[in-house]
Amino acid sequence: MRRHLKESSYWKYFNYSLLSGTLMISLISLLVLYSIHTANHSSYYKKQALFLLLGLVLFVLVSRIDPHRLISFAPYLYGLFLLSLLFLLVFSPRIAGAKAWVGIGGMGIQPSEFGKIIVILLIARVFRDHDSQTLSFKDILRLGTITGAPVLLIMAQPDMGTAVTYSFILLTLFILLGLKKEMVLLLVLSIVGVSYLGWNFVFKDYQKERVKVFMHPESDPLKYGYHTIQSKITIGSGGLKGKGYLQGTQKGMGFLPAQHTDFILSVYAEEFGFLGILFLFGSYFFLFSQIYGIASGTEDVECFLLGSLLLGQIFFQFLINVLVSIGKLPVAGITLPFMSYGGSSLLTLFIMIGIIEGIHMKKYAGQ
Amino acid sequence: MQSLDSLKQKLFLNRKKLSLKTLFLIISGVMVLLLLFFWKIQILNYTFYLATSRRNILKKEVLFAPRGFIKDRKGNILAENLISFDLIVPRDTILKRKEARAIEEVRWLLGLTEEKVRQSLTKKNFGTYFLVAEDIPFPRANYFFANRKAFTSIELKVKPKRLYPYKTTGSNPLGYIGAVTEEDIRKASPERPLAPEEFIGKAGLEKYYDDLLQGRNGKRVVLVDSVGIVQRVLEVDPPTQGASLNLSLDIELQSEIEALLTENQQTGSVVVMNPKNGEVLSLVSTTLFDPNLFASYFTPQQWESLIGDPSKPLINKAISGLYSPGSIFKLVIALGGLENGVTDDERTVFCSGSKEIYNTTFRCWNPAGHGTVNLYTAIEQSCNIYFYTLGKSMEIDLIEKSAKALGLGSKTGIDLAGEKSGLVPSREWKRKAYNLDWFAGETISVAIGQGPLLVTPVQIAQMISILANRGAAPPIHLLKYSEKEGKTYYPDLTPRSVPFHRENIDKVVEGMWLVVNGPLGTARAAQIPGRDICGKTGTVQVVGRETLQQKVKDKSAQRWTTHAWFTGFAPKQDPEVVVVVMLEHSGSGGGNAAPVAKKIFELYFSRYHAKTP
Repeated sequence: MRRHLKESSYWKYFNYSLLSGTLMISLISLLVLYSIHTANHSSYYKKQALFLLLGLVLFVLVSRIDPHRLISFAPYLYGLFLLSLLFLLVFSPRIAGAKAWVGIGGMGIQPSEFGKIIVILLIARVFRDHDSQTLSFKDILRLGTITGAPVLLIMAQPDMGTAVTYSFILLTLFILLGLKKEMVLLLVLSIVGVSYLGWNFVFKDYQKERVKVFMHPESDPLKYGYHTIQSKITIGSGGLKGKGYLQGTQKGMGFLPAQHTDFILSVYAEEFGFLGILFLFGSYFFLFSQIYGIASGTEDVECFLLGSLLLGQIFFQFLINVLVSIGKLPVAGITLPFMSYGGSSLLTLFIMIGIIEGIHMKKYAGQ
Repeated sequence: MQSLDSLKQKLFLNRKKLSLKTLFLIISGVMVLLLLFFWKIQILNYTFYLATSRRNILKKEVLFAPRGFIKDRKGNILAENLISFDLIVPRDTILKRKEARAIEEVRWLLGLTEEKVRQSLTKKNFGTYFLVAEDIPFPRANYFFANRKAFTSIELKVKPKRLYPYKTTGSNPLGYIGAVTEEDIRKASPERPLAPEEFIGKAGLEKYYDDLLQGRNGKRVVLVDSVGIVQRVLEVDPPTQGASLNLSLDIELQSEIEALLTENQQTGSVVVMNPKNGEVLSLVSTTLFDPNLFASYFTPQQWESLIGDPSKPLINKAISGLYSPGSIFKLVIALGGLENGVTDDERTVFCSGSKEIYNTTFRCWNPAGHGTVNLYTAIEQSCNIYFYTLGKSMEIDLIEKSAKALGLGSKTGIDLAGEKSGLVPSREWKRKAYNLDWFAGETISVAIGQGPLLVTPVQIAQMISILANRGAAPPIHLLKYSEKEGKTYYPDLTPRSVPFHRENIDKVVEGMWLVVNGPLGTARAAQIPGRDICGKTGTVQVVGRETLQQKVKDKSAQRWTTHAWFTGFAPKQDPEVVVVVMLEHSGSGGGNAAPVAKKIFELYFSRYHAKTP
């Protein structure tokens, strides 16, 4: 890989704010995972610490690569990505009910996580020459094909949560490039149509239950609705100052599901209270502002698209997870960026931050 | 051109940057909205959620599966389960520093002194709770549930508890259960994981058929309030009981035989079985214990008193007691000699009371000598000289082959845990064990069942079954069938073939008939007119003669008295019962074991053939 900056200038122009925001959230994640460990002796905090170190290495490596080079590789990476998804469907054993994992030396990695980056890179490449006010029907078709192919393969695994995160790319792009009124209507209609077909022919019963219960939580407060209720109890009982670190009472009882992934925020909110949430959300907002600053500061169309799409991706993932934990959305299986346990998820996020740091560097490359 | 392009790009970028700004404004607005949501949950509704979190506790309980029942051949229940209530203190109580309150409640419920309660407060630590008292009396449990709200720091745990209504009777074949060890938990199969509170089979049938007897544990998820009262049952997965075992054992016969031995303060073992189908009717070892004791957690003192007992109460002597077979082994020599053409029923040997073989004087048990004996009279009178001569010609190799063909030297495969395989010496064995060559002289003592030979009573029962059947015998077993949810499991009863001709076995049986019924038979004391009992006695020296005389002078004489064997079957034609009696340090086979065997035959016939022939 060609470096686009000399070593001395790399550190000179390095955006420390971006990294510090990321690290702050990652360290809070380790604290919470350790707290969960004290309740159920899980070893997630140790593994997450390893992934964090690995993530930092990836971050430094990726940030030194010219984003243009990454974008120029996008079509090949995209091809490889589709092949790996096909390979998984055909050969891979099921882990936790889904054929989503590739085993490498005793660790499982999820190509669908890393695939988000590849799809974003490819879209940035395809739309770099876009210059009209809004997206044309042809544009939408191209977008649909690029994201649709991997999403279908991921849905077949089946891993709905990850598949949903791909829609964030489209959503961000629509906001950025604009949509005609007819197009909005068409999209709404097709979403309704796809949902209808999906509801009847694709979704498993348990997934339907989640949605039904979300609509009517009182219908089944003890099974699917129970998780949402318990999550709210956990968060609410934290109050202003929280019950204190390691003092959470709900995590040990074993009725808050997926404490280390989907509902990690609830565990944090119980122990650190509203003030803790204020601090954590502040850290996220700081991180989002940094990404926004870098994306809007670039004078390069590809870099701009890349940075904006990554911002949208991380933000919407954050939003969905938070909404689930306070019962505003059905349980979706979407991780909280940098907080939830998960190797593939964390490494993917660090690569994303690495690309954003790379965009920042690119600005100073010519100087 | 390039400048125009870059100008267009710049225009485009500036426009899109406005869109990005919009996105960022949306992000900022959403962040504020999210904080408002949290404000509502954590500040406005704080008291509600805190109260709910204190009130609602979700608990997952294991519902322990009752073990399968064990019944004897007549349907008498030998092992069943009772409901028991264990008094526990949840770990939370200790964590919340409510220990004093818990002690107070235990005192209150069980009427113990504070000191006693403090002692028992750590009987066993199960991680999430401490076991304080096991199996508390039912009225006390009733009181607890009636006054449930008064007890905030202790709980009762419901568990099935094993009960053996016959107490010590049949304890050896039944075996016992015990609390799982860490190793048990580690080794448990993933399909049937073990909880630390569980009891599993540790000996006897309970161990051998543990997989069948163990049920599948269920679970229950309940919502309990702060007092511990179950508010709502969220999920129930009921346990399934283990399979029941229907044994061939006759517990009443077992009980009568146990009484027969213990009345006379004899130690040893007895096997009573049906040679036709391999069913064991009684399997007695005088090492009796009460298996009910094992259904609880032991105190170290109780454990000490059980394993510290010099008579080793936990050893089932019928399957794992190793003894020299003594003269019983002469049956092996006789059959092996006939089968290999080394002797026939016409060959005679003169017994003068002793014989010089390989420059050593070998004695007969009768110093006066038996005179001229043939195969039949040699078995009848158990003449050593005849068998020395026969054994010398057979050499160790043929003896080894014949003994192994009769099942000696390997486990019978009886369905009990802890069976021993005994020892049949051979040239190879000696080389391996001592790195020495076999001496021809050693063969002579092996020929009369001494030397390194070791057998278990159940092996002798198997051997006698083969003789009684005049050929192959079904494997010895205690389980007739096992039932679970309508499905029945039968043990495999394929007989293993034996390489002996029927006419040769008939000749040996003829000798055995004379042992009990002949004019000079060694076991005339076992004779029951009309029952045609065939048998063989054995008297086993525990130490050499000289040492014995020395020891007799000491008070420890009893420990150095010979072991007494009697083994036999009846009737001679179409036999239906095999009896093996092995009495430790009790004197001679003919004088001491044969009379006991006679009583056992009588007990059997009175139970199964009420009319005397």
